[in-house]
Amino acid sequence: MEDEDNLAQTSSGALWKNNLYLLQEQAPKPKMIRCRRIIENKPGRYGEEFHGLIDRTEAEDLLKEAGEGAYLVRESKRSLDAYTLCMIFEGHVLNYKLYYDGAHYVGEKRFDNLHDLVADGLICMYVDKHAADYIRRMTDEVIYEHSPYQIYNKSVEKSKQGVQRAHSFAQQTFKMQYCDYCRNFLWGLVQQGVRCVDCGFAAHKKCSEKALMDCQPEAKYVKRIFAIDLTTLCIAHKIGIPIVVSSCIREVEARGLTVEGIYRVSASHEQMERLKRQYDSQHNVNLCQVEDIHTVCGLLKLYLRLLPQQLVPFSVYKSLLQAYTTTTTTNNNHDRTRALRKALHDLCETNSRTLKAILMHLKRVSEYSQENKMSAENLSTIFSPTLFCTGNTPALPQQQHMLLHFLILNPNLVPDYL
Amino acid sequence: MKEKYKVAVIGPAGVGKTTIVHQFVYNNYVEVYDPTIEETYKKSFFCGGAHVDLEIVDTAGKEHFPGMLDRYIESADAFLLVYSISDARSFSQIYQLFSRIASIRGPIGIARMLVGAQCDSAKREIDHDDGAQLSAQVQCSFAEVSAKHNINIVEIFDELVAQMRYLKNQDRNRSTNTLNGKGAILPMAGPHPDQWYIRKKESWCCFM
Repeated sequence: MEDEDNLAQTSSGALWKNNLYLLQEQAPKPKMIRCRRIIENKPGRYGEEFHGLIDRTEAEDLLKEAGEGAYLVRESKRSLDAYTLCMIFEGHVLNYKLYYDGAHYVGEKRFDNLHDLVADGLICMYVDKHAADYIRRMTDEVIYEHSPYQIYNKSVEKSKQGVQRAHSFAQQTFKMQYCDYCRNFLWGLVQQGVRCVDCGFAAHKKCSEKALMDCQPEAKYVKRIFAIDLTTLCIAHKIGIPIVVSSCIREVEARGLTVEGIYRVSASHEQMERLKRQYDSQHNVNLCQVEDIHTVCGLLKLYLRLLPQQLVPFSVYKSLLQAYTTTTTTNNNHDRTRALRKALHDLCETNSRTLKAILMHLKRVSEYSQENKMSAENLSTIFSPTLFCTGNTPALPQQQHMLLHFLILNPNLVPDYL
Repeated sequence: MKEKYKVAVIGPAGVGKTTIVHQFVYNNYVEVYDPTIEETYKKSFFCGGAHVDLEIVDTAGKEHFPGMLDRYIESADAFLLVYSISDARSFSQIYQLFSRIASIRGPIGIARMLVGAQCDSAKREIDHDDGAQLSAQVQCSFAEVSAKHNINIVEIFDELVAQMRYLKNQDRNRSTNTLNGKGAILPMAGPHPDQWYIRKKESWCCFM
């Protein structure tokens, strides 16, 4: 929000178009017509706006007397247990069937109370009546390069990763919001539009359908560290590999290389949970203060396990395994490295970088196997189920381990990215 | 299990949506015009060798609350899009309804039918060919009906049920095909959709 406010001030005053906002302000306000009689068997969800079984003309007279924005609820004469919302807009009395399923609704939007439902309805009808043509055109006339989202992304120095990423739009209720696509006000009271949960792009529903695949996730929207897609996390924090991975590796290399059974000895579940929570809330934790180095190891494994998608997805795993097994018999290392390198090229940038860091780290750990008793073979037995997505029909566990073993010994097979 | 479908009857105000539904459900003709707010009817009827339960939502043509049309479109299995042959304005609004359905539910794979109501009217503004042309453009079947004389009323619901059954079968075939993974195409229940619509149209030329 803050950035957007700054944006509006620094650029020429005309960045946001406020005519729809002004229109919304002019929309009639809801006026409840109180029922003075006591009505038996009134449904609990309705208050004084409920007038019971009065007929259409009687309701019309009441509304016309009260003027624009007046509303009441009456029971339907035609069908049982059906309720009708009557309201007056531009001098016409309108009748709608009113639904309730824990929230009130007539159209798509749900409301906690009828006042908001009517207020939102009046705004939408008013805006539609006075600006229908404008609304129809506003999305089509956008020049995307001039959209606030593009301008904003250009103005902020970003670690641009040339990744095509779709926005993840979700319905949203805004307080006061303009569209990052067409610059117009998002009118209505609730669910006025959608927002991308990763980068905060806010837009009319119609505008969001036209947005490009250029989502740049931001840290303030990507709340957690654990259990988040790797690429989203790294773009949001403008880093190459996830912070948990890099700091755990640093810590283990600083004081864990000679510890016996490193990565094998299990860690305290409680302490790992605490660290995970700290990462999620503070985004960084000083691991020097963690007494037990096995907890740090456990944390790294936990992080990898909680990724929505394993570091090496099924498609890449499949081709890796294929490349590995088909070259076994020839016993020619040159063929094998070439085949594996080719398979690894399908790994996306962030995953590739992270995998390489982990492999190089494991290689270093195995170099101390005399002291820590953890050979590359031992390490690959531990890590292969966490790193590989093996699908529903796992290959022989032996093969996975051998594949990872080979990769640990040759981390340079993973392509480099800047 | 008995088949159950939900049909939404949509179209501009005063074209006779309610009279069509009444004629079909109660076999009578409503003379007075009382704008519908929203009414749901249930009818069980015999069609194509089996009973079906239809839930028919008779919608408001006149007053639209924001988002109301979208709610109808999202919740129904089939749509009856009604205009009046004696009201050119109602016909001009139909295309918008088709594109709204297409944008929410996709352009194909949903049962729809274009209906020209009040075909007993002496004051014709929309030719039978105009309706047929529009229906070809949006790829759905078409009929002119009269609720007053009970012409083609049952037939349009028959047609919708046939479409819904066809689509359901197609869905089932598709899912079994992907399940066994062998790509064996099961015999379809009925001819190809294109032929199917043409066949229907020919049998339904206007009677007047």
